[in-house]
Amino acid sequence: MNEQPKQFKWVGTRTIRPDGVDKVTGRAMYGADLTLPGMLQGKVVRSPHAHARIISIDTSAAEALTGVKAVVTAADMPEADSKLVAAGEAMINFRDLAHNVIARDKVLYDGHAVAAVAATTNDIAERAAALIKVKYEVLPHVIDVLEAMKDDAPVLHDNMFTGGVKPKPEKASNVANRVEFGMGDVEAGFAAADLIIERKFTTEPVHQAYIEPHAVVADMGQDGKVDVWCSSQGHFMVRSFCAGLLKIDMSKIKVSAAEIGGGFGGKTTVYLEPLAIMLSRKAGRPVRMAMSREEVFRGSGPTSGAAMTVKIGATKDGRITAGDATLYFQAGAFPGSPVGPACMTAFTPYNLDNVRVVGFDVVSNRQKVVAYRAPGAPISEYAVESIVDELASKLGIDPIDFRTKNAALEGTKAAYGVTFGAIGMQETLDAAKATEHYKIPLGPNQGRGVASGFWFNIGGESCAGIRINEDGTVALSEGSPDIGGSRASMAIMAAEVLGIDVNKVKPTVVDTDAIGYHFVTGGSRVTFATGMAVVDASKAVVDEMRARVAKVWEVDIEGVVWEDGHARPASTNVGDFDPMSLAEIAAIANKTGGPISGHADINAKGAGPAFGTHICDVEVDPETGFVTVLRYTAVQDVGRAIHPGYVEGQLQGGAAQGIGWALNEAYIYDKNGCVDNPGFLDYRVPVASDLPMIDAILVEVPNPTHPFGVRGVGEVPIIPPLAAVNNAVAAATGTRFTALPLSPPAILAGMAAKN
Amino acid sequence: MVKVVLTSGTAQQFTDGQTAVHVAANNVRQMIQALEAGFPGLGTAIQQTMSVAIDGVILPDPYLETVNEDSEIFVLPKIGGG
Repeated sequence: MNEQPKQFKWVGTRTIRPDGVDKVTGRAMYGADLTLPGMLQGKVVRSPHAHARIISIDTSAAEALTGVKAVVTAADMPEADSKLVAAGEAMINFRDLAHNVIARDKVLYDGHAVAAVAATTNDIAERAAALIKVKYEVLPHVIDVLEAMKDDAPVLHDNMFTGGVKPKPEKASNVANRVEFGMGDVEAGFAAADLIIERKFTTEPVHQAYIEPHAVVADMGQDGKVDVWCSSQGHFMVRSFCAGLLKIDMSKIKVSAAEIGGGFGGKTTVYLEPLAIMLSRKAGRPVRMAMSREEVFRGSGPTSGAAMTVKIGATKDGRITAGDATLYFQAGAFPGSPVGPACMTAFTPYNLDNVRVVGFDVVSNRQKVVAYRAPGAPISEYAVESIVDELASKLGIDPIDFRTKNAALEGTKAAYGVTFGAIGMQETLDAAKATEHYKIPLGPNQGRGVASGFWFNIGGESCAGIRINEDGTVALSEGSPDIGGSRASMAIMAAEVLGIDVNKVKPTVVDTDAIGYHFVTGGSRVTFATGMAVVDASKAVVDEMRARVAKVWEVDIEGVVWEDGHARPASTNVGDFDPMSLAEIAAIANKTGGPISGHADINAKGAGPAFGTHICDVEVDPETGFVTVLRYTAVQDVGRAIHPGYVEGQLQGGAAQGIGWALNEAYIYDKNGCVDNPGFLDYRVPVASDLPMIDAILVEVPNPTHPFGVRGVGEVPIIPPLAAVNNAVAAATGTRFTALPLSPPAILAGMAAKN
Repeated sequence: MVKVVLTSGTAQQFTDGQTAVHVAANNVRQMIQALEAGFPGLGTAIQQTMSVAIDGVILPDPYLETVNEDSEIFVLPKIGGG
C-alpha cells in the first residue's frame, strides 16, 4: 500500500469499525431481526412455471384457515403508471416494477410472485400459501438470449417493440432495445491491423449471492402511516418505490435501514416491501417477511447472461487499431439489462481511435436482472480482455506491456465519448508489473493471466448532518445504508475536518424522516458523494464554531482560524487569546447562541473514473479439469483510500466474486425453464478454502473533485477477474476458452477438442 | 451555439444519424429545450433516460449547468451501479 500523505491525521488510517462490536456479538439488527407486538409472518406464493397466463386465483381456503389474517394478490395493488425510474444500473418502467413485485396477468419466470399471505405463525402462513389455488395456462417459454431473439420465439410482452431503431417495428418481439456507441472508422482501423482476432463469447446469469436474504417488517397504522424496517441498499429508494406502487404519500412512509448482510446491487430494488405493507394494511398488524435462500435465487434478480461477438485488430508492434463488439444481454422478464454500460465500458481501458459497440437488451423467461457490481462491465470486458490477451500472446508481447502501449491516459477520449481527466490506468499496470507475483516462475499445468477493468463511478444526491454534543463529542447523521464500511469512512472524514479524535465521532444511518433524500448505496458513490456531504457539513460546523469564538473574543470571524481541532487567532494582530478546543466551544454553546450543528444537502458531481489490473495464477488438473487459483493480486487506482482496510476488503471481495463468476457460478434451468440449482449447495460460490489470500495493492491517483481525492472502489474489482482467470487457464492449458463458467467438464471438453 | 455529441444509436433514433448537433443554449435546460424543438423526442429522452457529460464530468441530473461553445458535451445513457 502507498505511504499516506503526512498532511492527514485520520484519512488513510485503519480505525476501529463503528459497527464491529455489534456484528461480532450478534447485537446488530438485520432485516429479519425486528420483532413487534402482534407481528404476523408473511409468505409469498410463487409461480412454478417459467411462462404462464394466470386464469384465476382462489384464496378462499387460505383465508378460511385459522390464524390467517390477510391474503393479497395483484388485485390489491393499484395498477402502476408507466413511467421510468432509476433502479440500480438502469431505468425501469414503474409498471414493470409493479408486475415484478406481484404478477398481474402472466407469470414470466419460475418464482414470480403471484400472491402473499400473512398469518400468526410461519407454519400457518406456509400452510395457507399452499392452499391458494392458482390456475395457469402454461405458455411456451424461452431462456437463452439468442433463442429469445428468434422470430419464432415465445413473446413475453405483446406490447413491446424494439426501441432504438428506426422505423419502429410493427411486430412485438423480445428485443427491448438496441444501443450503439462508436467513434472513428472501424473498417479503416481493421484495414490497418496486422493481426485481427474475432471470437464469440458467452456468460451465464449469476446472482449477487449476498449472505442475508431479503427481509422486511412493515407496520401500517390505522391513520395510514407506515413504518418499514428492511435491509436494502437505499431506504429512500424503498420509500419512493413503495409510495409509487401503492399510491401512498411519501410523507406517510418512514423507512429505517437495518444492517445489511451484503447487497452488491441486488438490493437496489423492492420485492417484499410493498407486499408486506399491503398485508399489514389488510391485517391491521405488523408483518414480517423474509425470503428463504431458494426464494432469493428464484424470486430476486441476478445479473445478465450474455452472448457476444468481439473483434480487435492490432499492429505488429502492439497498437490496437480497432475494436468492434456486438453484445446480446438477457434482461430477464422485463427490459433493463446493463447492456448500455457494458457497451460503454467494453474498450474503455484503452486509448482507441476506432471503436464500435452495439448492444441489445433482450427479455426472456428468467428472473428480472438487477444491478450487480459494475453492472454489465465484467461481462463485456471479459470478452475484450480475453482477446487483448490473445493478441499480446500471438504478437509475442508481454500482456502488461501490450496494455501499456494502449492504455487510456489523462486526455484520452474514452470509447464512450468523454475526455478523461486524471486517471490511473497506467499506474495500475506499472504497479502490477512491479509485483513479486508477476515475476515468480510457474510450474507444469500452471498459467498466469492478466486483465484490466474500468468503471465510471457516480455521485448523486446525499446529505449529512453534524451535531456537536455538549461534551464535545459529535453525532454524524447520514442516509446511505452502510454496505462496505462507509460509516467508518464518514467518521474519518468528519474527524479530519473537525480536527478531533475519530472515536469522538458517532456515525449513524438515520431513517427517511430524519434527513434528506439519498440516492441508493450503489455505483461506488457513497464514500465519494455522502463523504462530500459530510465534509461540507463538517466545514459548516467549523465555520459556526469560528463564529462563536469570534463573539467570545470580540473579533471578526476572519480573525479566527481552525487548526487541529482548536480555534486560534489568525495572527498576533488579532489578539492574545488561548486556543479553544472543540470541547470547550461545545461546553459554552448555550451561552454563545445555542446548539452547534452543520448540514449539507448536495448532488455530488465529478466522481472519478477508476481502473484496476489483476494478476491470477492457476493450476489446471489435466485429469479432471479442476482449476485451482494459486495466487491472485488485485491492483486498483482508488483515488485516496480513506480507510485502507475497508478498501482492500472491497478489492478482495470483488475479486472473489469475479473468480466465482469465472469458475463456478451459473443459473441452471431444467427443460421447463425452472431453476434447478436454487441453493448454495448447487450454486457454488467460492468459499475461503477455495481461494488463496488475495493481495490488494492500492494505487492512489487522487480524484481532483473530492476534498480528499476519493474515487469509488467497489465496482472495479469484480471486472478483471473473469478475464484474468480465463487468460490464466488459457496459459495453463494452451486452449482459449470462450464460455463461462470454466467448469471442469467444460475445460476437459475444450482440452479434448484441441487435442 | 454549443456542440452536442450523441451516441450513434441515439443519433440513428432522433437525428437521422447526425452524431453532432449544434443548438443555441447557455445552460443544459436551454440545450434540452432546443434539442427537443429541433429533434422531437430527443429532449424528452435525455430527461428521462440519459445523462449529460460536460467536459468529462457525467451529470446524472443535468439541468442548470452552464454550457458554452468550448464545452465538450456528450449525451449518454444514465449510469448507476451495484
